[in-house]
Amino acid sequence: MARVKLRNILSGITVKEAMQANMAHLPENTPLKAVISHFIKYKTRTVLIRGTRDGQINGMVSRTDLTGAFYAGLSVEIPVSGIMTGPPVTCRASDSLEAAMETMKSGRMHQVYVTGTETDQIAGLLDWSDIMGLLYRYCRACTRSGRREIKIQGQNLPRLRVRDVMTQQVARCETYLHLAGVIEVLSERQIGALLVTDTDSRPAGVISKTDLIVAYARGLGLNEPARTIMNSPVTVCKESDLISEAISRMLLFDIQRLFVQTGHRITGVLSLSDVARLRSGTCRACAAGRIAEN
Amino acid sequence: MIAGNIMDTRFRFLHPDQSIVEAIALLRAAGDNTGKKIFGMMVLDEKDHLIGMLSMFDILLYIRPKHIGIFGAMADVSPEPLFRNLLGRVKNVRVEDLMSRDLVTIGPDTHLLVVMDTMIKKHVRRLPVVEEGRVVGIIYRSELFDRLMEKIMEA
Repeated sequence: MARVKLRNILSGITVKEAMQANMAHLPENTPLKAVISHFIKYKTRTVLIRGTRDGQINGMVSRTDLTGAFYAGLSVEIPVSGIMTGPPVTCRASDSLEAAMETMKSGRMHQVYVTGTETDQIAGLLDWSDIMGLLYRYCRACTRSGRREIKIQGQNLPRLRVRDVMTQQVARCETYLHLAGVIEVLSERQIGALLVTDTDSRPAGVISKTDLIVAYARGLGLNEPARTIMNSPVTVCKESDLISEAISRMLLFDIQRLFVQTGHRITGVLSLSDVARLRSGTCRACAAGRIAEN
Repeated sequence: MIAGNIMDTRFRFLHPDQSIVEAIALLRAAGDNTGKKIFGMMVLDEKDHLIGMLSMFDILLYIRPKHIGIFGAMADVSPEPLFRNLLGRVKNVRVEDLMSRDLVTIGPDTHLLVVMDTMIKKHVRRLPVVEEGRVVGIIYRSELFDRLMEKIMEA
């Protein structure tokens, strides 16, 4: 019996097609407060840092580094050179997207910087939402898929729903937990945002790393309660929603995760990076399960 | 034909810790008072040092959705709910978060043609006029345009 080679829709796509181009970088003497403003303005998760003498990229700083500085009680006026890490992990613009995704998966990274084809200069950034955005565009444009279930070897492939992919253990805290405690939980659980519940265990809001660094820049203290800076209401979806719809919402709203609500309770969380890591798009129209809708 | 001749010396400015919502209200009020639309203002700190410029473009950049490139082309996806979500985010943002800090400035003796060249090269519609470290005025591209056109018409 002939074996059918499953064609992966990612075949032939390079990093260059998915990445965001033109990366900003800041000089290493930039005070943390101004670095945080940059994060807010450009809605970014990391920023590159260049040396003041040679202008070369010598590091990067992430929101985690900033929350670490907040936790350590560092002043927001200190230069970013004090907390930056790096140099950043990179891949090449000409690399296959699949290879870059492997690098990100095995390193448990949320993003990778991209160097140009000719030089070692950093040309762009690739994160999971860029990859999902590209796949979404490809799948919507594809004329070979139908808007129906495809039969494979006589079996209908079910379309994935949120409940099939979500994480059921949802990290949560109460509205009165102080910001130091919030930072500790995010760090221990290696997550980017925390659900805040009120005394009835009902969802009250969400605190993300971005909210924490804004609090840091505004001069709020580590003993401030979570309720002061949390975002309400919580953006939710249902367990029965299609994964494709959930992805679409996360991309459209530029958010990293959806909390899953059943009745009045939060029963799970679905993050964009988990979905992207899980299924790397072998196209349904080309006879295997696919992540983005059509 | 120098900057000092056409600059606006009665300028308003913003403080870094004002909210964007306040800044927008001030921009509109400034426009109403002078009769011309104002799309950007200088940001001065408490010691009256020039620390940034906030323009319409900076605000538009912030409200631009990251993936509008994907969704903009799709007729069946409405960006409306997204738009409402974004407007909610604006409430917590301050002038210091969105202002541009890398500023080009000119002096009161700079020739108008050099001012024009600077505006073209740096893609800016307004330039602060600085003398001995103090802001003494601001030049708008529209004002520069009007003056140069007058000269051309007279010739």
